[in-house]
Amino acid sequence: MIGHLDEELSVYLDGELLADEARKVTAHLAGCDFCRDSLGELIEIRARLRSLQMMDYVWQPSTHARVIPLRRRARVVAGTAAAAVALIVAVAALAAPRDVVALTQGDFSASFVARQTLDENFTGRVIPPDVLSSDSEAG
Amino acid sequence: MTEAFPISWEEVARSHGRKIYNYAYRLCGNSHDANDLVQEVLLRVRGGLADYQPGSFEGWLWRITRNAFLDDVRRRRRRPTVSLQSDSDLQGRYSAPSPDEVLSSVRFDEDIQKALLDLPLDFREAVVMCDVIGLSYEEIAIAVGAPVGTVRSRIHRGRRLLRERLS
Repeated sequence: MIGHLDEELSVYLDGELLADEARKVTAHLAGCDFCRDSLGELIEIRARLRSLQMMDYVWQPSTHARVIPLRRRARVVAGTAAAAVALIVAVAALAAPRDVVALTQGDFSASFVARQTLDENFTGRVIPPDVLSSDSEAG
Repeated sequence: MTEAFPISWEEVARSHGRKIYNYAYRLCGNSHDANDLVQEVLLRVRGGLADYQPGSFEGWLWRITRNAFLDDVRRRRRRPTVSLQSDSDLQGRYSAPSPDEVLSSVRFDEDIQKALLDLPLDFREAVVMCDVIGLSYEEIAIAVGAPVGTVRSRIHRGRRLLRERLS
């Protein structure tokens, strides 16, 4: 191998080189201080990125179930309202969840921030990257 | 790569909501926008499940996520803001003072988050997909619609730029 390694070092680090290429890089690193230092820098920055707090986000079916069917419900409501004036009261009642949704979404982020601050368990990364990548390799 | 396919968008929400949220948060630095993005992605997933062709589910999902994010950036026509500030405003309302160690870990996060936001978007998304979300090069290539060679170059250059900015 002539000169120093560059991009190959990241690919090597990520385990994305073919076995043969990886062996060549290993051999080069054994005799090249410069490339070993470069690899060390990449390892450090990669570790910092991986240590970024994995924010907690819990998907709540009830929140989204209310958000999504609203459009469908709005059409139904429009048809029914034309049928009887008395239904206006019901329409108003059905329209109310719109506000509920807005509040729910807002509260959702707020509670997320609050939990993040109050719960010490959220300071660490809960799903390590190797678990994430093994997800994608499954099946 | 053929993968077990989640049956419903609700399952996608449960299995990937958190990753999508974190992807968006690291890319835009803003928890409210990140929350909106998760919902937008889930709507798109719901609409697109019928057309899904067996293949890389991760690639498919992250392509949707990436496109939703880019559409949002274009729509807003503003530079993504660093939300750590607005988040600390919220924290002020909801919590007691944090312990020192929590603060220092937040600052540590903040430094790298700011450096990430300074990266060109192509590099930022590649680095976040690889190092924060843990996608493979192939999955990232599908998600961003670029060859694997381009992806590896972006990841490497992104890391190098981050290193320069943080040292």
